[in-house]
Order: sequence, then structure tokens, then C-alpha cells
Amino acid sequence: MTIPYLSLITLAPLAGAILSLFIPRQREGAIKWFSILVSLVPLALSAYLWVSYDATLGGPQFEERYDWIPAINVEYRMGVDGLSVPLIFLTALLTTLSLYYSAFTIQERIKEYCALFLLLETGMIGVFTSLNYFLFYIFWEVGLVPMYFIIGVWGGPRREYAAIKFFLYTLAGSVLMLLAILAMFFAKGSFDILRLQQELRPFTDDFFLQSLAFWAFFLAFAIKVPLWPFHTWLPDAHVEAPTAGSVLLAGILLKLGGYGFFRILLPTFPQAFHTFAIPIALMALMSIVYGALVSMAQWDLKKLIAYSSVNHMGYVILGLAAAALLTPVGLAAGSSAAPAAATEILNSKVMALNGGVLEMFNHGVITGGMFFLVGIIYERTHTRQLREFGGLGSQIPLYYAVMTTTALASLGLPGLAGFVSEFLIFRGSLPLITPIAVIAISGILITAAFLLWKVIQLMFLGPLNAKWTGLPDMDRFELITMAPLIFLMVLFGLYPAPILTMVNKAMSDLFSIVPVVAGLF
Amino acid sequence: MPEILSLVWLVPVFPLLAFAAIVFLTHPDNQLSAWTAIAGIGLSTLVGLAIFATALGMPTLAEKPFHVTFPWIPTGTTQLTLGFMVDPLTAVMLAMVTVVCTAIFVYSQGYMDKDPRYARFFAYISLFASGMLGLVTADNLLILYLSWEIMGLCSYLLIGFWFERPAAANAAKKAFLTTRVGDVLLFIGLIILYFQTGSLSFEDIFSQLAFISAPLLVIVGLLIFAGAVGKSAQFPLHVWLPDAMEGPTPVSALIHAATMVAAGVYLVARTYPLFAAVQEGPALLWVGGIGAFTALFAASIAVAQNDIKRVLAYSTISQLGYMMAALGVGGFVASIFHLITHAFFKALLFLGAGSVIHAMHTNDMFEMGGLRRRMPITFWTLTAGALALAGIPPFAGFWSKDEILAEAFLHNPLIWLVLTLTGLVTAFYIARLIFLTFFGPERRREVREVEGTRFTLIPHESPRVMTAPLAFLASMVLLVGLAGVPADFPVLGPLLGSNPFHHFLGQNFARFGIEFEAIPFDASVSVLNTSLAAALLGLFIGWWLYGRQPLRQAQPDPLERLGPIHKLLKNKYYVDELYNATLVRGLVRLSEGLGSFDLRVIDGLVNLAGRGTAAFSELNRLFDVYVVDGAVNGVGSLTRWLGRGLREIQTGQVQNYLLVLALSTLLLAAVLINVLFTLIAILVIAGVTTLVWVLQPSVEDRPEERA
Amino acid sequence: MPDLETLQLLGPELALTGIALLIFVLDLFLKRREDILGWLALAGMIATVLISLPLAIQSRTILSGMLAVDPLAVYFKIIAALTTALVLMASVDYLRTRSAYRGEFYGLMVLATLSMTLLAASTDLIMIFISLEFLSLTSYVLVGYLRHDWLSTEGGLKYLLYGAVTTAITLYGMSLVYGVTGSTSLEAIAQALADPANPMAQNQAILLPSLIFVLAGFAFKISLVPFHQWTPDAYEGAPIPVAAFLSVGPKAAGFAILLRTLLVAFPSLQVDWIAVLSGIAVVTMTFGNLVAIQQRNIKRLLAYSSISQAGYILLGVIAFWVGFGTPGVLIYVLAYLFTNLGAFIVVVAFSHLTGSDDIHDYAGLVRRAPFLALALVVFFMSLAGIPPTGGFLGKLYVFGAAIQAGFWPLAVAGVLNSVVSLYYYFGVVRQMFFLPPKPPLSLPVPRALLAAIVISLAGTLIMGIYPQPFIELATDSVAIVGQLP
Repeated sequence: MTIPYLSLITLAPLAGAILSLFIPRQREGAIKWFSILVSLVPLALSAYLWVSYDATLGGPQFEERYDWIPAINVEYRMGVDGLSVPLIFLTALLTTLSLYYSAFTIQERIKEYCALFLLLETGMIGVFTSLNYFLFYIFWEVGLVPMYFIIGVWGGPRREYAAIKFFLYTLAGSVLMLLAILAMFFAKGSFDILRLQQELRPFTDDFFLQSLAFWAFFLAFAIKVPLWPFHTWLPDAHVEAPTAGSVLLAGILLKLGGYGFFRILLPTFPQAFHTFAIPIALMALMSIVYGALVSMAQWDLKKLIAYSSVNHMGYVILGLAAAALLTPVGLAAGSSAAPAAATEILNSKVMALNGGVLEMFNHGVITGGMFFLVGIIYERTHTRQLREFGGLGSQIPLYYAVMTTTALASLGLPGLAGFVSEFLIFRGSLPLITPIAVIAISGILITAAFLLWKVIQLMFLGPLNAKWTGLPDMDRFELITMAPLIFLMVLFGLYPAPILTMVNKAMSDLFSIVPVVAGLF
Repeated sequence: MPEILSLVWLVPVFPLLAFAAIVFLTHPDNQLSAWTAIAGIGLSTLVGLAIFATALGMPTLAEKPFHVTFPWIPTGTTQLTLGFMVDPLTAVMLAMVTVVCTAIFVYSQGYMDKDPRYARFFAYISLFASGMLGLVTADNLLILYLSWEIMGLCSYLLIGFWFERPAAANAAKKAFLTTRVGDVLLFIGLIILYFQTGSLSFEDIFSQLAFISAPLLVIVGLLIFAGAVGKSAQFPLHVWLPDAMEGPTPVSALIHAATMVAAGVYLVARTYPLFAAVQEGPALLWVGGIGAFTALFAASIAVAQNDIKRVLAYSTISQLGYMMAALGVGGFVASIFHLITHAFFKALLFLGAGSVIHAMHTNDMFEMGGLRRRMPITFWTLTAGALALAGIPPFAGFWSKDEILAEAFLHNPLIWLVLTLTGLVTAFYIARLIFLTFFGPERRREVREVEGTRFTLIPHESPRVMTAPLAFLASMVLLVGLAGVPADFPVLGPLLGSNPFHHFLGQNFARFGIEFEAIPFDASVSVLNTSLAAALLGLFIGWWLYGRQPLRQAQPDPLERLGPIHKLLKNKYYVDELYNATLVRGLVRLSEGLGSFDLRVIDGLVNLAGRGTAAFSELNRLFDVYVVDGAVNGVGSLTRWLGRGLREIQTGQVQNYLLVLALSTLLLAAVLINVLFTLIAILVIAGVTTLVWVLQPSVEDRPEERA
Repeated sequence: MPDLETLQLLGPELALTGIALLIFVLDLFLKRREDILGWLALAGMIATVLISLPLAIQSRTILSGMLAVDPLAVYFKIIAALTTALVLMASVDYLRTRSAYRGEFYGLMVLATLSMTLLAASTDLIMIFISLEFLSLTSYVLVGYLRHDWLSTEGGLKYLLYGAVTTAITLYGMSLVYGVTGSTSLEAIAQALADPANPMAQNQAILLPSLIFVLAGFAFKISLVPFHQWTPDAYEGAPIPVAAFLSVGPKAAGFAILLRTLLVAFPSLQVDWIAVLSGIAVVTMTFGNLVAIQQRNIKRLLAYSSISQAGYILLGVIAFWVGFGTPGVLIYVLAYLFTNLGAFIVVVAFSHLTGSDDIHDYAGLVRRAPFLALALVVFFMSLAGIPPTGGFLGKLYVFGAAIQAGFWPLAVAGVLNSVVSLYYYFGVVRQMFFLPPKPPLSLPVPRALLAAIVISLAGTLIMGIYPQPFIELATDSVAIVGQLP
């Protein structure tokens, strides 16, 4: 009997959440440390997954398959590949850090808070481990509820509006996905994610139906990502959510949407994705440029970073859209003579996808860190208005250094994590959708502009605003929270091979599956 | 001993380690941090010079450059490999960069004394040096780009080092963003090359240039050049460099001499085979044109500046223009030669200026004067630098500048003309600088009040730790030019070994079929004479205006007599203002517009959907209350009205319910039977509804209110 | 003369009759200890379930074709008994302080259950009508049970009057059907309608109105728009356990008989009734949801919510012929039973403890009675169709049925409606969790109520997490109707 690692990773937090309900409400310390301890289980196990996942073999590993609802052919099937392993690790890491950070900052209703975070972790990891639509959908929806409460109970002044907006908006997308899942089930009699894309291939003969299903899934994922123009729930949710809530929202919940694109949308409906690649690329372009510009217009630090997430996640979708396209546009004239053009195109596609996955991971680390930093300063100053800061660089040099590092990673400075993913995305998409990618690159500039101007300069540079004399620098627990994130930013900025080896295999395999499906690639 | 070359990867690593050590370990201790940084760059210098020496003794190095590589990331079916290399170009750059950096590091130890962020400064400059050394040793575009950006970051941090000053903060941001415009274009070029050749390594790219279509190659060339334009502060991306003076002076020296700005020229030089691959293509023409234009443009601005460092800043821009122009006309060796000599004399000029500022606590040359006697070492070394800049033999600048002019004269007379004219202007503004600073009366004395007593601060010579690097650099300025003396130059040529520099570097790209022949002295003697005459003329005008009759305190600049021209020059042709009015403000406006668009329109639509549902739901409720309930409540009222006087025996409501029930049933039946019937039924319902509107139901009939 | 076997097959009905009579008799003797009657009724429900179960293997009609003994009937009998059982558990504490005549109440509840079991099994128009009337009469009394409460009385009266007219319409419809087909047996009707020799069978002008008239009676029980108007008033007026009962029991029975009538008697007219029911389904779910948003009283909110729920279930009826169709109805009804009763029982508990039905008074409930609040969240999630709950399974089935049958727009309307519904369900959640509590800070929930909530909660969650047995049960139960064309 092999150890069911994935079930353990997924369900341990749930068990912890239930158990924590039995700890008396008054023993707050015990609740906090118990939940942190519980969250270490998935963290340790996911680190083990990462280490022991065989990247040369690829494919789903650590599989678990049991009959669950044979009446409708539903299996309890879990498995991970190079796409999901890093994201699971990221989820476990950010959850632990969130709980750790919250242990020092959250004052009220601690029991519910910790239980909800653990529940949320189960929901998020479950999405990454499920290989059956039924299971997938359950986890997908389960994640919404705790986040609704986290925003609504511990959030800012407009928390109720933000909470219900988040819930309704994302639910509206996902119910249509449910219909598409059902449609595939009725067409092919299976809820199995991988079997449907590899063997059964629903709707290959009916493009209209395929498009319908495609857009239903697309909407669910695009809202979650969020892709322009479905992004407006995000700033509200972020601004109102408590710090750790924002961290997980930006760090993981957005990745669920991106993950859906990689795991489901592209391999299951390659033909439809191919057909609609250009409109989708344009939406991604809007996310990138528009997101960056709107971010620049913000004066609320948290809102600014929220919009920058729109920008960053846009890169992910840009890479996907590029990979879904068949022929390179624009450079075709010169490339015909280039050596092994076909291999190059395939490599470009894989690189675009690699970049997308890496961007998701990096964005989780970087923007997660950003939101921690916003929380850290807000705890001290009780404001997020950029105009009210000024000159903090000399007052709180440590915070200044950490924030600058994170901001530089966010704007894609080479040597830090954000760059590698952006480089791969543009490397992959530029030959494939040249004009769109070229315009999208300008997003890098705007991002740099607003991070340097609005965040770094307004907060830290110039003469010290007298209001903040005596402002204390980062505490030890805050440093401990940020340290792993900074470490990952530097590590994967300089040497991303540990993650890319895995991702590259998964993405390459994607194209060994997909070509058969549609005869396209 | 070619094995020493395999240590090349260590050269950028030493300062990087120093950086890490200062950040994580030594930062509480200022002196230790400084020594850590100096040790880092010192080790790099040792290795760098050893590599340089070894490379000199390896005649086949240009044919077979040395590489160390390691696999980086998998990309699809291939593996992306990165590495470092040594070829003559790298060797020469290594020698120059390490030596100049060391001088600046040592100097900084004195200059930054008493700064509260002393340790941080050394961390930054270590990282900066690491970036530059990584740049020159990279064997591929990715590490080059990475180093390139690290330098961008460091320049940002160092220019904004005194970030409490808003001007410094602004300058830092401006530097980063302006150069990043170029960086992004370079980034695109890099990606295109990667896609077209499947590799990022220079060797692979150069060997596959033939497979890339000519127009695309031109585009790539221009994109790479755009990166260089940003980094080397060429027009139109030059605006950041003068503002960069807000940083501490050693930083200016570092940026202007050995690192940052040289990177752009180096980039074009490094990718020269790419430019050369398109014969008669416009890429090189652009390089030459932009370079020459920038040279004159910046020199003319330098003429009217009062801030000593700004004069030097525009001078740098102008000199970089020379180098670009040299590359544009095919003068690869001349360009690198000038890059090297310029590094020494510009470092010297900046450190000298720093010494002056250190003593005077001002940057304004009109508040200086008469320092010749107070600061003799500074004066003499600075003068040496000035003469080198003006192109007076035997100082280094003369040899390199002359080679550039010779190349230009041969390949593009227009560029030659512009550059010669620039030489005149250059000599003039540097003479102006020297005369204003060191001659004439002391125009201002700083007065300080300490505990009620007034002290007049008397400027004095800088400490040893600062003057020693000055002296060293001055001697280098004398010597380094000799490496590139033409072989047939009278007396000196044969004596110095027939232009070893050219010989060494000229073969750099021979393996790609590109070789550079030195222009004989004989062919360029008239060019030399012309430029020398121009330089002397420039110096003379400078003396005439500023040295013959030194300015007294508060006396206006004689150049103000030029009126609007002076104003135009003094305001740098209003380029900053133009950018602010168009690009900067436009972008901010656009972002604000989109911000409110997002809030009002896109989010508005979402909220509208929500509000629409709510409104629709209210409508439904009203329908339920007024039409369904009340509708026929109306009929009830009607009945009541008709049968006035009769007592009601039942609540009107239930009757109404029943009426609706009957109507609904009939309607449903009607739908099934035929359309005509349906229409009639709808008319009936509509009639009843109208009645409701006429006969408003009373409040107590609304179940909602009763609850 | 009914033989022994028939009596055995009538077991559940006989047991219920016996229990009811026993309660009425005991009521005369037990003056102050009427709670015992409640527990007796509860025992009767359990007995009914146990007696019903073995009958599920039968498939026949008894009493001259008046009643069916088949899995479908048994399924709905169990549903009826379960509903009543849970309602009884919720009633005992609630009624103790509100009425002195609890014996009648329990007796009437048992009788109402009896009427539902009969309705679920009826295979003849006459029997259908009688059961329908029987159910209605007991319901009227139950709604108006709190005779000192003005709202209760008014609600009962309205329900009665409305029901009376509907019944009349239904009876008229039935008589028309009889006129056309010459029979009251559902199977005979089907045969007559399928007979090409019967000239009346082709007369759409009579047939269709008569079908509609018959449906009106069922729609009234299920409270489909536009036959829903009694619902909010009756729910609001009725004692809350009765409202809970009305929202599930008669509705389930109504669906049982709707299925049986349409599938057995009128398959030849399916094109027509599918069209009509589709329209009704969309209007019902949309209307119910939209009006529910506006409600400030939780009973009215649940009333409108239950209207919309009926609209979803109708999708399963419309797509009856596909694999997910009829079983979907059954699954949804069972999930709905646990969920909606659960929600109502929480409301009963809250009302019992605080005397309020105002949603605003639910503010901060999580601090006052965490279990109630938590349970209500789960029930609301289930009602909105969020996994892992029974409500999700039900929605999966009925929306799946719509898709499987090719009714895409209906499925889309359904899912979008469930998004809208979340808004008002979580409006209550918002009160409970996000707003500060009102004193007193601790609300001790009586044990019986707690047990009822726990059972509902368990049912809701188990159906969501391990639905396999429930799916099998439902699929087996429709084996007969499933074989229809």
C-alpha cells in the first residue's frame, strides 16, 4: 500500500480545520500554533513531491484512483505533474506564511480565521491535485466560501460589498463551466480530465459545441485569472481583504484560473483555442497594458498592486494564446530559411507555456510578498494612501530594502524571478504573435514606471514626512515571513532550472498529446 | 598559461560576493565594509589583469576565443546554455574596467567619509562593478542583458543615494526609466535573435547571421542600437545622464567613465558582426549619424552650463557620441580605443571635480575661482584630464580622437566635419571649466556659524586617499594613449611597437571575416592638423573669454551676450520640457483616464448588472404586489366603487388572487390553442394592469409592509 | 373485498391511519402531556418508512387500479414520512409555548402524511383528486392552526379559498379528460389518446385546455408561477413547522403525481406540455429568485426561494426521458427535503428562541448560536447548489438533464438563477457573520430541534459527499416510468 500523498496534502488542512473547532475559543495561542502546525504538513509533503517528482518521466505521478460514484462514472482521481507540483508547493508555502503572519496580527475571531484558512487551503490544493472534473469542481467551488468569509469578516470598510461581489462574480463564471463539464460527460460518458483530452476528445466533430464548451470554461477561468475585462472584482476584493487574505487571493486564487487554462482549456479544446487565440491574445494585451496603466492611476497602495496583478496575469494568458496559434506571424518571411523552423516553432510554444507557468509561480511569490508588505506598513500607519507617505527610506531602511527588492522582482528586473518568466513568455510569443507581443512589452515599461514612481519614490524617497518619525522598522516575525519569498525571488531569478525542468516536461508533453487531437500542431 | 582564462567567471563574482557580504554580514561596520568592497574589486583586478596579460600573449585568441559554459534552463527540446568568454575585446575592457573601478573605490573611501550610509554605498558600487564586469565577460546576450539591467538598477540606487533630496530621487527614477526604454527595445532584439538562431550565445548568433533575412537584421541592429542609445545616453535618450549628477561624485565617475555609459558602446562593439553583416544597410549609418549628432549637440549644451559636474556630464554624452560615430563609420578599434582613454581621463575629470566640490561645498563654477594655489594636485591632474579631453598631444585623448577623425574622414566626411567642429567646442568648454575654477579671484567664501562664532571656511587640498587616485589616473592619461600610436608616427610609432593596441583588437572578429586595418599616419596627417588647430582655437577662445580677464564675483557669464542662443543652450534645447509636456504628462493623463474608465465603465457595467438585477427584482416584487395582488385589487376597488354602499364580506385580496389564477390558467390554455386567443388574453391582462395604475392600491394591502 | 395481500400492500397507509386515530383518541385522555403524542407520531413515521421499504420490489396496482404499489410510490412515501418526521421533531418545542391543543396538530400532521402517500400512489384521476383534496384540507387547517394569530388565520383562509378554486379548475379539467377518453385511469387515458380511431383524442382544442386545467391543480401544490400567490402569505402566516412542511411535503407529492400523470397518461401530448412547463420553469425560478431578493422576513424569503427551487426541479420533469431527467427529480426532491427542512428548522429554532423572523435580527448569529449559523450556511450553500452538498447533486442532475435533452437555454437560465439566488441566501449569511450580534449572546437550542438540524445537515452533506447510494435509489425508483417512450 503506497502512501496517499496527494490526499494527505489536500485533506490534512480540512482535518485540521475540523479539529481546530474543538479547541476552546479562549485558547487563542493554541489555535494559532495548531493551525500553523497543520499547515506544515502539506508544506513538507509538497516539498517532498517536488524533490521526488521524476521530471524525466513526466505525466501524472503519485496517482490515486478509487471508484467514487460509479453510477455516473465518477472516480476519485488525483495526480500531479510538472504543472501542478510547483503550484501546490506555492499554495502550501503561502498558506503557512499567511497563518504565521496572521498569528501576530489578527486579534479577533481567531478560531474561525484559522479554520477558514485551512479550509481554503484544501480547496486550493484540491483544484491542483484533482484529475476528475467532479472532484475538480467541488474543490473549485469550495474555495470560494472561505474567501468570502475572510473578506467579509476581517476585511476593510467596504468588505461586504467586496465579499459578495467576489463570490457572485466568480460563481457566475464557474456555473457555466459546470454546464460544459456536464455536456462533455453526456457526450463521452466520463468526468476524467485527462482521458477526455487524450482519448475521448469531446466535440471534435462539432465545432459549434466545442466553441460553446470552450467559452464556458474560458469565462470561468478568465474571471478567476482575471483577464480584462472581467477583472473589476479583483481590486475591490484585494483592497478590502485582510493582509493574509490578499496574499492568498493574489498568490493562489488567481492561479486557479491560470491553471485551468493550462490543465483544461488548451489540451481539451485545442481547435477552439486555436481559432480564438487572437481575440484572447488581445484580451491579454489589454490586461497587460491597460492593467499597468490603471495601476499607475491608483493612489491606494493595495489597489495599485491589485491592478498590477491584472497586468502580470495578462502575460500568462499572452503566452497561452501564442502557444495556441499555429503559424508564426510577421516573422514568417525570414524564418523559412532558418534552421529547423518547425522545431523552433514548437520550442517557442513550449517556452511561452513554460514562461506562463513560471510567471504564475513567480507572481504568487512576488505579489504575495507585496501584499504582506502592504499589510506590514498598514499595521503601522493605518493608511495605504501613497500621498501620505514620503521619505520612509531613512526611517525604516529594512522595510525599504525588502520592498524595493520585491518591487524590482515585480517589474521584471533580470536576476530576480519575474524576469525569467517574462523573458520566456516574450521569447515564446514574439515570433508567434509579433505585433501583439511587441505592444505588450511596453507593459514592462509602464510597470517599471509606476512601481518606481508611485511605490518606491512616493513612499520612501524625498524628505521624511514628519508624521512618521519614530516609525518602527520590520519586526522579526515580519522578516521571517518575507525571507522565504525573497529567497525564492533570487533563487529562481538566477537559476530557475529546478522548477523549469519539471514544467518544461509537462508543457512539452502537452504538445505530444495535442497534435493528435486536432491534427493542428 | 592559458589556464588563467578559465577563471574569467570569477571576475564578476568577486564584487558580487563583496556585495552579498556587505549586505548580510559587514554592514554595521563602515570600514570593514569599505575594505570588503575594495578587496572584491582588487581580486577582480588581479584576475582581470592576469587575463589581460595572458591574452596579450595569445595570438590565436581572436581566432578561438575562450569559453566557459554551463547549462541554465531547458527550453522545449533544447537546453539554454550560458557562459563567459575571453577574446581581445573582453581582455581590453577587463583591464580598463577593473583598474578604473579600483581607483574609484579607493577614492570613495575618502569621499564618502562620514556619510551615514557608508556601508550601503560600497555594497551598491560593488554590485555595480559586478554588473559591468559580467557585461564584458558574458559570452551570450542573456548574461549581458542581466548585467546590463543590474547596472541600471545600481545606477538607480546610486543616483538616488541621497534620496532625501527630491532632485536625487527624481533623477534616479528618470535614469532608470529612460534607459529602460532602450532596454526594452534591446530585449526585443535579443528575443528576435534567440528565435532566429535558436541560441543566445554570440558565437552561435554570429555564425548564423547568413540565415537571417537582411531587413530583419537591420531591425535587430537598430533595436540593439536603441539599447545602446539608452545606456550610453545618446540623443534622444540622453536626458537622464546630466541629472544623474545628483549622485555622489564617485558614482558619477563610475557611471561616466568605466561602467554604465561605456556599456552601450561596448554592446554595439560586441555585436559589431551583426551590424557589419548588412552591407550598405542603414543600421551603421544610424549609429554614426546619431553618434555624431549627439557629440555636437551635447558639447554645445556643455558650453552654457554653470554646474561643474553638468559640464562634465554633457561632455561625456558628447564623447560617447564620438565613440558611436566611430563605430558607425567602421572604426571599431578607434571607438574602443577612445572608450578606454576616455574612461581614464573622464574618471580623472570627475574625481578632480569631486575633489573641488569636496572642498568648496558647491557645484557652481561661478562661485569658485582661484583654487590653483589652494589645491595644486587637483589643479594639475585636472588640467591633464582637460587637455586629454581637448585632444592635445601627448595626452591619451589626442590619440584616440585622432584615430576616430581619421576613420570618419575616410568613410563619411560629413561626420568628420561635425566631429571636428565638436572638437573645437569641446576644447572651449573645458578651458572655460578650468579657468573659471582655478584662476582669478576666489569668488565666494563659505561662512559658517558655530556657537555664535563665525568661521570662514578656507578651501584646502583633499586627503591622500583622494589625491592618490587622481595622480594615478593622471599618469595613466599620459601613458595609456601611447598604446595606440600609429605605427608610422614619427619617432613614437616604431618606438612603441607599431600600434600594439590596434594589432591586438583589430583581429577580434577575424573569425567572422571582419578585420580592421589601422589608418597610417601619412594618410591622416592633415586630419590631425585640422583637429589640433580646432582644439587650440577652442582653448584660445576659452582663455580669451575667461582667462584673460578673470570674472569677478557676481559678474555674468560673457556668453550671455549671445542672448536667445545662450538661453537655448543653457536650457538644453528644452528637451526635458518637451518630454514632460508630451510623453510624461500624456502617459499620466492616459493612466488617469483609464483609471476612471475602469471604475465608471467596466466596473460600472458589472455593478449595473447587479443593480439591474436588483431593480428587476424590485420590479417583480412590485408586479407581485401591485399587479398580481393589487391588480385585481383594483378590480376589487372597482367592485367596491360600483357597489358602493354594499358591505364587503370578504377580503378583496383573495378574490384578486383567484381572478389572477383564472386569468393565468386561461392564458396558458390560450398559448396552446392559438395565437389570436393569446393576444386577446394579453389585452385583457393589459387592461387590468392599466386599471391598477389608475386605481392606486392602498398601503395596507401590501403584504410587505405588514410583515 | 380487499384480501390480505392488498392489506399488506396498503401497510403504510393503514399504519398512518392507525396512528392518527390513536393520537386523536389519546388526545382525549392526555391533557397536559401532549408532547408524548408528538413522539408517538414520530414513531409512526419511522414505522411507515420501515413498512414501505419492502414494498419497493413490487410493481402493480391495487384497489381496482386506483393505487400503484411501485418503487416510485414507495420513494415518495418515504419522502413524505421523512418530511413529517423532521417537522415533528421541530414542532414539539415550538408548539409547547404557542398552543394548548397540540394533539390535533400531531394527528393532522399524520393525516397530511397519509394524504401524501396516497397522492404519490394514485393512478386514477378520481383517486388523484381525492388525495389532492385530502392533502389540501389538512393543510388548510394546519396553516390556520394558531387560531389566535391573525396572520395564521388569514393565511389559512387564503390558502383555502385559493385551493378551492384551483380544485374546481382541476376537477373541470379531469372531467374534460374523462369526456375525451372515457376513462379516469391514467393508463386507460394513455391508451385512448394513442388510439387513432378515437376522434376526440385528436381534438386539441379540448384536450389541451383540459391538460392545463389538470396541471393547474398540481402547480398549485408545487407553487409554480403563476399559481404561487398563496405561498408567501401562507408560509408567513402558518406556524413555522407547518411552513416547513408545506415547503417540502406537498411539493414533493405534487411532483410525484405530476410525473405520474404526465408520463403515464399524457405521453402523447408531451410536445405541448414540455413547451408549457419550460416556460413555467424559467418564469418560476426567475420570479421566485428576484422577488426573494427583496424580502426582509426570512419566512417570506424561504417561501420565494422554495418557489424558485420548484422551477429548477421542473427541469428534470421537462427532460424526463433522458438518463438524468426523472432520477434528477427524485434526487433533487430528496436533497431539497434535507436542505429546505434544515433551513426551516433553523428558522424554527431561531424564532423559538428570539420570537423573530426578521432577517435583521439574525445579525451576529454566529456569536450567539454558532451551530445554527454554521448549519444555515450549509443549507444555504445547498440551496444555491454549491458543492459538496445535496443541493449541488440535485442541481447537477436537473441541469444535466436539461443539457442531455438539448435544452441548453434552460440549463443556462437555471445556473444563472442559482447565482442570483446566492445573493439573497448570503444576504442572510452576511447578517449572521459580518454584523455585530444583538443580546443575549448565548442561545441554547433545544435538543429535539438540534437533533432535527443535525439529521438534515448530515443528509445534506452525505448526499453531497457520497451520493452513490442516493443515485442508485433514485434510478431504481424510476425504473418503471423510465421505460416509457
